[in-house]
Amino acid sequence: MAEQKQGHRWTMVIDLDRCTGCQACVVACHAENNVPTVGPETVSMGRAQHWIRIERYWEGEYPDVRARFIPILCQQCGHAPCEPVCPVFASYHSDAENLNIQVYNRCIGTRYCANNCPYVARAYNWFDPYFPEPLNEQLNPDVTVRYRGVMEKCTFCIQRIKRGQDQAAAEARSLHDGDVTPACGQSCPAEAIVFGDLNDPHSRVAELAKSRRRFKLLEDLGTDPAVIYLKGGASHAG
Amino acid sequence: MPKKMVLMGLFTDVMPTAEALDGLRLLGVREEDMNIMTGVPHSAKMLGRPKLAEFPWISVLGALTGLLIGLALTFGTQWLYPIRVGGRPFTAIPTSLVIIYECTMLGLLVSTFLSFLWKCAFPSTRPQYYDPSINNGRIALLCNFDMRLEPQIRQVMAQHGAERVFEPQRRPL
Amino acid sequence: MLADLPKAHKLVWPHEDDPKERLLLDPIPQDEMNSRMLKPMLKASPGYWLTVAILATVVAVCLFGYWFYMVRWGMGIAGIRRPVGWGMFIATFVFWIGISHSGTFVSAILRVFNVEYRRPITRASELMTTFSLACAGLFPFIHLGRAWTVYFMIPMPNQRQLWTNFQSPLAWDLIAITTYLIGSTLYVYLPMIPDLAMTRDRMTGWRRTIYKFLSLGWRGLEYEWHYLHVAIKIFAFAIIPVMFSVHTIVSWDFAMSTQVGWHSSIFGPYFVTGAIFSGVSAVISVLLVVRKTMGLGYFLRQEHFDALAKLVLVFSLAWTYFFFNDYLVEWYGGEWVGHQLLTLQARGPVAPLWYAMLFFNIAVPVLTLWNKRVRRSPIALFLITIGINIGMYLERYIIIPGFLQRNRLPFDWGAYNPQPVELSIAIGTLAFFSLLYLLASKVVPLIPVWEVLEGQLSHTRRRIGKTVVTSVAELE
Repeated sequence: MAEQKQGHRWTMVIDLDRCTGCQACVVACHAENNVPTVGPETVSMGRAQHWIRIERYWEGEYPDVRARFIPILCQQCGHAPCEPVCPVFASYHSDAENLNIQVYNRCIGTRYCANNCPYVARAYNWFDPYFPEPLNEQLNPDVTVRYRGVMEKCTFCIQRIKRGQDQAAAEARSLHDGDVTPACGQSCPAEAIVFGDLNDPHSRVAELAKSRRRFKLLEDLGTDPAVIYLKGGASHAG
Repeated sequence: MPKKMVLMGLFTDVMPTAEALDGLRLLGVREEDMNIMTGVPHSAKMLGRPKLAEFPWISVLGALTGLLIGLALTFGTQWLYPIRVGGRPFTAIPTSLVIIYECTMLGLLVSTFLSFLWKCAFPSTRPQYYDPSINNGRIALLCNFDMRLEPQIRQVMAQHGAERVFEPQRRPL
Repeated sequence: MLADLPKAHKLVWPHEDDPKERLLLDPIPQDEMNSRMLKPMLKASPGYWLTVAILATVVAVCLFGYWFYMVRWGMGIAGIRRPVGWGMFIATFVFWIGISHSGTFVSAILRVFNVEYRRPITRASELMTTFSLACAGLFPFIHLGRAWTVYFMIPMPNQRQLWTNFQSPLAWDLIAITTYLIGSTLYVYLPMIPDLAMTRDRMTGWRRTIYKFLSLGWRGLEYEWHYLHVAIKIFAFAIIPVMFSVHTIVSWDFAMSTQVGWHSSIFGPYFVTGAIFSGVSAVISVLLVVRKTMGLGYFLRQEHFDALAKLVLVFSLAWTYFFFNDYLVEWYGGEWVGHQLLTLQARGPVAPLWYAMLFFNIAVPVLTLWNKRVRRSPIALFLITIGINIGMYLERYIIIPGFLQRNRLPFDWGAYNPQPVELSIAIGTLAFFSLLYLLASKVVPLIPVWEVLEGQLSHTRRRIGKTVVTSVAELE
């Protein structure tokens, strides 16, 4: 197995000037990660089950109403507030990948991590998941189907990261930029979502991270998120 | 060895009991051969007896054990099987202090209770010398002495107003 | 000279207070005292059995039945949602932990400060501590999504080589509540031993065997009393910091988080004060019922409730101080989301609860408990103290699911609507507590007779000048 000189720093750059709010990323994430669709009643109760969501805010009065939107997902924080509060280490940090890992089999369902996430990025399985036919035939075999009582959230498609690493190891080379793309990045028609390794100086994310339009969500909290947003203009959404 | 026997005298008040103890001492009965049983705690000073003064070493030992267990749980488990959370170091003194403190207190409390049981030899199911009237305001004076002193012992107890003086039997409580 | 006094002064001739109104100045023969304590334990009226049966049914159906239904189908039948991850279950949990401070305060703090009126009430309130901890201890199981895996939290070697995360406040909860439960159970048991021995002496048959076992062979020897005193003294001093730490740690479940309104350094002392406030009020409520139903009027007198009610007033003021501190700091310099929380409470959907809390916790005690006649009226005290506990429950409800409804991303705000399962389980724990207490009142003598006798031994009346005053001796 090829040894890396230093770990990866998986980063996602979301360009809000390109995002159209089409929700293709949301659907792709459901498909890739076996996230169940819970139905309109459950959503109206406040139990929408999305790992990435488009937050939409209305600005202005009719007829000058504008929608501002921002895709929000787990920010894979470097100082994640969700990690220290889990009593059983179901949410911990991977130093090698700089990712926040959620271990479904370890989760006992206290929901402390969800309370502590300032981005409200975590989703809970309130009931057993139900995949109405034929969705049950579309499940991704690389990803567990979660049981009731277990917390889940965006993993930066860690199954794709692992597959990319296995592929690179099989070909006896290191990972190249573009080998790994999460489902949301793959499906975005505007190419607003760019994913890569910030430790790789030649990657697209490293290039975009230098942009003057960059900001991070709720940066003053000190969570050190791995998601960088780009937005020109006077203010940023959220 | 001279044969020994046991007598129990039941008194109604503290002062007569204390004076009876003095009388028994004059007859040569040793402190450890005399025992007082009461339904309400009377201090050694009231009865004119030497005090039990012991430092609760077992409690301190228990607290130290608790401290070590707390250290093992917080620092030990993370040292053996480290898991990173929150971008913090594997172990942190402020959070560990909480667990260490609680484990210390648990050690202190449990060891105090166990040392109480041990010192009093509880639980005891053997037949013992006892009279239930101590729950009705009586003070029992139990005396173990050389058989030849029996008449004098009886006289001392009666002289100080013992309600009843008799030879008790060991009975299951 | 009387003529020099301004006319506004009013002079009265003081009347002598009746010493018989004071328990510790009103001794009766020990035998009779024991009988008065044992009488309600030996007979059980049909009303008692009916109450036990009803409570047992409520516990079986509303608590355990509905809970197992939730375990089978999922947490979704409760009202919790995104972003309100904790709701009534945790509010009720904190409420019971608060009630648990009742016993330790009366039994330990009053004992350490040699407050004589604590003598008849220590055991009845310590039992409240033990049973409320038993109720509180159910909730870490109830609120889990996968309750059958709760053993993951227990620090023990396993083949996964995984231990508990001791940086998590929930792990601190586990250790702290376990310590407090074990500590307070031992602490209620230790002073009970001489009374269990007294009960043993008066029982026959299978009852005698039980008490023989429970009293460990106690005979009242000098060294037994000495070691008991030493153990009780160590326990009294040691359990006070444990009591403070337990509710502080429970408050840190909230204070350690990033949630606005929770992340406050005042939560530790605020919650502890609130707990003592709630606990002492609950002691009054329970003791009033015990006194009436068990005919223990000899032991539990007006003076005790008067003194406890004064304590309740003091803690009402202390709670108000901490509440206002927390409120003013947020109001003055808090961030925008904090101000949304204040609006939520003052004018939003939570407002009726908030005003009700202020009414029960501040207005009622402060406006009534200064008055001696109110303090000496059982009905008034019962209503006031039940109201206080309603107010304290509302406080936890507002802080826990209430505050979670607002966060830094307004798109993710949400309303919390409690569902029947949560109400049912909360009522079920109240029934559980009452059931345990009812059953214990028949097994355990609720009044520590030996401590009352010790107090009566130390109290005398002596003459100073023209009056006779009560004098308390130091027995140790």
